[in-house]
Amino acid sequence: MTEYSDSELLRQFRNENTRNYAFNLIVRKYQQKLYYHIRKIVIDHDDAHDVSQNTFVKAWKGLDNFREDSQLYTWLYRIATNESLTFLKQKKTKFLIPLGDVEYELAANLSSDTNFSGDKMMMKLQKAILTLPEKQRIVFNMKYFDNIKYEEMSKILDTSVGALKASFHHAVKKIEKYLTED
Amino acid sequence: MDTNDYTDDELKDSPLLKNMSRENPFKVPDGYFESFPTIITERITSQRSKPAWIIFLKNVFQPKYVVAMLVFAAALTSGVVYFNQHPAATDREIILSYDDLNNSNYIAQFDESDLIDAYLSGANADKSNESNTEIENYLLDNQTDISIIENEL
Repeated sequence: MTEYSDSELLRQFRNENTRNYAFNLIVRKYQQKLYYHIRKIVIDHDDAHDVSQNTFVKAWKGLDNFREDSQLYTWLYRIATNESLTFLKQKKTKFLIPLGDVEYELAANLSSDTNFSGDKMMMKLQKAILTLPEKQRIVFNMKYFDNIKYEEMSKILDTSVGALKASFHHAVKKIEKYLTED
Repeated sequence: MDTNDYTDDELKDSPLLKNMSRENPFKVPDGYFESFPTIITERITSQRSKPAWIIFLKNVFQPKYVVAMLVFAAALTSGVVYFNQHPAATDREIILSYDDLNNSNYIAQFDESDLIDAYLSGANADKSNESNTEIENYLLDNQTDISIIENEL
């Protein structure tokens, strides 16, 4: 299948006749990246599935107003991040989980997750990542696993490059400490 | 998206993380990404086929708002019931006893002269009518000349 550029996809989306087709191509193009970005935040596959759906439905609703001041993937990543954080917040309120315990629960989910294929060390790394504050966790994942540039991350998370660098640095220190402790 | 591996510079102080596998450990069920676009298309289509008022009601009656709505409805119902059983007092029904007035803090705010004027105007109204009639009768009975009275005044 030909992979269209974002601007070509947006052009097709604005045409009523090719709107659905273009959006289907956008989903196909970005679904994996967004899903795994979401999955690293919410951990559980079913939750990631729900949040991914919400992300694309929101994108569908907002794409008409999307101006190409930013890149499409930056905009989609931003929606995905916000949806994931909203999901975790709702989870805290819905199940009356104390703020700090959500990460504990996510770590427990990780241990029983059949869709997790990492070895022991990777499991430990993931649990270490779950000890980080939410935003720091997202920064670490985006940098360490997805290798996203700070400038791009800055647009997605609406945070300065300096703050992101500091956040990553702190995250690395904490994880290193966690991994070497026992 | 840029995938140049420059994260290593950031990890020079952390050899453990630097040497670890950065492969994605999360997996999905077989065929997941093949079927996902169809799921999205179905969701979008089902949302578009619903009338706007159904979407509006669905948004308004979200589970998170239900408790607030129930509390509001209960408060409204009890308010209506309470005020039906205890209608508001009208002016005519406000009867104050002497003790009520005497113990009231508002009594201190009255100007005494106003009270005296109010009392006298109320008390004298009937009396003055009564005395005027007596005077008229006296003047008529004694056939008094009105010009004499006018001179006296």
